[in-house]
Amino acid sequence: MANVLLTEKCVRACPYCFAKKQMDTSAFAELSWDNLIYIADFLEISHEQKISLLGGEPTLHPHFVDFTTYLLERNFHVNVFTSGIMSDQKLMECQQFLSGFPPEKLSFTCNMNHPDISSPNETERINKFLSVFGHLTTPGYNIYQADFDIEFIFQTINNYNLRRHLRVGLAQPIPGEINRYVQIDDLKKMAKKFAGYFDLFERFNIIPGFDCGVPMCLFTDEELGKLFKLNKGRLSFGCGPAIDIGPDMMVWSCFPLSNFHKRSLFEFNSLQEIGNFYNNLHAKIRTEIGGIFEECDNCPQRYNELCMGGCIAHSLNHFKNEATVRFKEIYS
Amino acid sequence: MAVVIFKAIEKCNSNCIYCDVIKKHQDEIMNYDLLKLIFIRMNDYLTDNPDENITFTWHGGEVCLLGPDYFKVALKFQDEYCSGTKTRIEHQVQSNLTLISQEIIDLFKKLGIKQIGSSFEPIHNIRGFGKKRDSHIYNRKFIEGIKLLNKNHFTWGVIYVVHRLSLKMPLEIFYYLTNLNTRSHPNFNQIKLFGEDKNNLAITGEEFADFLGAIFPVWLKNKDRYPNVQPFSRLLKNIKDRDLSMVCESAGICSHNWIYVGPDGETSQCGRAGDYSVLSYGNLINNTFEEIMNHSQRNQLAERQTVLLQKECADCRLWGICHGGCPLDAFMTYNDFMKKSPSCDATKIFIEKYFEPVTGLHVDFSPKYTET
Amino acid sequence: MMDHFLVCPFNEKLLAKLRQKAIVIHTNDLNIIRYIDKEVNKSNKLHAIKIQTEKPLSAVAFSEDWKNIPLAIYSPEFGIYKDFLHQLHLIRKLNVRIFLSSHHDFNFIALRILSSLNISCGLYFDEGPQNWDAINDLMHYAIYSTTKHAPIEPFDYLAFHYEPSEYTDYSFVYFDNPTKYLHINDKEQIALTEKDLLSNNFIDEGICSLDNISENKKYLDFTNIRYDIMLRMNECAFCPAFRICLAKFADLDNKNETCKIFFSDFMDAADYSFSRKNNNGNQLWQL
Repeated sequence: MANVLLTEKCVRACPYCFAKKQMDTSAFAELSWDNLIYIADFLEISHEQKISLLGGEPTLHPHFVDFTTYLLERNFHVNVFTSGIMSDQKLMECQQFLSGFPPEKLSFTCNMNHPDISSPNETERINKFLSVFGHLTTPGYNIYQADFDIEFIFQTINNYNLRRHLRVGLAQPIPGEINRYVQIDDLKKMAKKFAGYFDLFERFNIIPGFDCGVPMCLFTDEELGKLFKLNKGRLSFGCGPAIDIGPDMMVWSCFPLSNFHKRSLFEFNSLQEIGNFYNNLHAKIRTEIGGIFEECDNCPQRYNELCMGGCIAHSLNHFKNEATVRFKEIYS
Repeated sequence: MAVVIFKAIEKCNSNCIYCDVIKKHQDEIMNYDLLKLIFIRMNDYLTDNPDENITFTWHGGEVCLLGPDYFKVALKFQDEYCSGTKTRIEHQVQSNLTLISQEIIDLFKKLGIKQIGSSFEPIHNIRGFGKKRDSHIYNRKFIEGIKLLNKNHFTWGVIYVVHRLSLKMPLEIFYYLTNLNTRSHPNFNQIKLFGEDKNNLAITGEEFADFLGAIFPVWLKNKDRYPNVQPFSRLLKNIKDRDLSMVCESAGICSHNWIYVGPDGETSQCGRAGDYSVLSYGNLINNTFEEIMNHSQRNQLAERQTVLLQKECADCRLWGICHGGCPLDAFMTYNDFMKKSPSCDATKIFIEKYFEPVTGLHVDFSPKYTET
Repeated sequence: MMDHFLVCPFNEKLLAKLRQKAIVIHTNDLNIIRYIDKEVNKSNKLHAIKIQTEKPLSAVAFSEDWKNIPLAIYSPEFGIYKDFLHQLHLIRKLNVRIFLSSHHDFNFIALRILSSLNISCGLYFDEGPQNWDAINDLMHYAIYSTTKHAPIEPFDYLAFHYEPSEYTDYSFVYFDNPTKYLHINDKEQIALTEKDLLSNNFIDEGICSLDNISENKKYLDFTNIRYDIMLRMNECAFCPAFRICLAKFADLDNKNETCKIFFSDFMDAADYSFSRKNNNGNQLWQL
């Protein structure tokens, strides 16, 4: 799957935003029609039929509906990562052209912030969006501090009949930058807090799907068992390239590593080539440092490839103040 | 195989600036008695040499000036005097195409001719009619000629003579000639001018090599588009495939294969020898083909290969694709057949400066690799 | 059936005089397409209807009635994507080739959109200056792209028909080469090309003269027109891409920075396409 950024403009300023660096330094680049066609061709050649549209806020792109319908007509499964915050006019336009598609073709991931840090206007707009597209929407939540509250999400899922899956992201450090993320020392506390919601997940039959970069050892064996059941047997503690493509046709491994060995899409002939390129880089980093904890170096779960040792962005942070004497590739 | 350069006429309707033939001011046209004798002589030769064939090249001057009746008579003589051997006579034609007609084409067809060799020049006033070499009218008539050839499904190709005025526009000339004929591609030859060069058209071997060198990389990149541009295709085949097929001046085996026959029956080594009036082998009135093909003077030419190998060309790595070049060029330049031709320079410079760097091939046809 | 296809307006009196001819009707009336198909096919064979519209493509009201009718629609611009989207599924069912003008920048993107959505399409060259870079980019997409897409003319036509040892004229795409297409008006005046017809440059008159048109001197001269161009010895005669362009842009100034670059690249693409066809898709490495 490839993540394509339609625009760097956004409607919010989330404290944990992975894309903050990207958006702060850009002049709000927007993906053009011919580049979209190029990307679609590129993915087709790579036999990849899934595409995620991101931003900033992708629905802010003036051709968002055109692009989405175009990709759908080319038989891509399109997933849109959105805040759900859009003007009434945009919502009407989306409704007219997108609401008829089945979930096998079109889906939304709506990243939700706690109502306490959202304005009433934002909340109202999100609710309007969910009332139209709830049946296609998976809620998302990014954990950026050890203490957090996600009860509101269960309510929202039920109220708007959202898909019964919560995409949980863990805010990661952006090497070389200062951003809000869960510190390494607080990770176990965060995991405990999250485990406290297992009963709710079970009661409401909602799958808690962790995004990448979470180490397995944050959870006890009992918690892992519960997670396994809640995820219907599909559980993974991986960390690998997600492949993001910017509106300027630059590619990078994933947003935390958006400063790290950026390349032009035109340097590659397929998505697999890009994946291989970044996988090789990751492998070099993990040779230098196994994971985010010291114990990762000798961890049997890492050797058995059940866990990757947490987000590689944490690992890169280890090298930031030292002399550049390791593999040259681990320095951006 | 014997190649006859048959010049029943050396007059021409054109006044091409570099032509050696028209300088002879030879107005005579071979009479029918002599024409008949030619066919009788050829028949005798072929009867005595059952394994031999003859390539009979109608040359000039301008052959179409002979008129259709001449070819009718030639056809009649062939049928009458070569009834058992005419299948081993292959007719070819060189013509400037400005006088060709449907009637002549029909006769060419009967002689088994399906293609015509010609020449063309995009630069004005090099080939043309009259004192001022009017190329506008000449070119129009040439084009009418090729339209007629196309209508009759004849193929045609051109030799392009590279001269001083060509040097400033090699690629343009290449593109023009390949646009003019997309099926048969040009054959680039260096101008041969011996004696006074009134119009300053002569070029050095290096200049010719540079002309070819400007075209060569373009040709190589697109050789599927232009499959038979000479000398490139032949050189590449010789060098890359070691498939040695060369024109007469590079093959080193011309001594006993060629014969020039002039309008009065005089014979010579080859067409150019006839044009320069050197190496006379006698008249066909008094001599048979056999005698002319085995004239003792030909042995001297054959010996040239041995002499060159012992002297000037002893260590030359291009020997196998050059063989010292044309003996006539050597004679006209140095008054000595036993020297290598000045065109060897052109070959050497082209190979070293262009062919090898562009292709990445190394050329080695030195005597030790080519001796059998 | 005669060899030549006739390109004519929809005129029932004229059609009544024609028998067993292959016909291209040109019209700008979208309302009579079904009627044209019915009427022409009574005694002749409809090859295509060439529709010239002033409307953007997205404003053309396509109809289910047009199914199985061979259509060539010429529109100056693509229009609004969302409007086009409403008709996309219908357009896909039709036997249609959509041509957009070379004078509207978005059309170059629109043609990629159409082609990638499996709709046959093409560029037509409006009079006046061209955006050669955009044309070149589009050509590269049409010929070199490895993703499946519908043909974009005239690029695909030329790539398919090109042979290095021949001259290839892409005018056939626009029903405009007299060895196949002759243009005739209501008064039965016959011209060799659309441009000739519009400028009253006729070669003959009357339906009956069609039978001997191959012997018409002006017709024969036209079939050899490339030689006249060679005789003029203008820039086109010396251009490496002459054999695929045939001096269509002879009036252009500054050819070295415009048409020559494009057509040279186009010829390289044609060679590439030819080589792939003849090597079963494999490109033998070149020395």
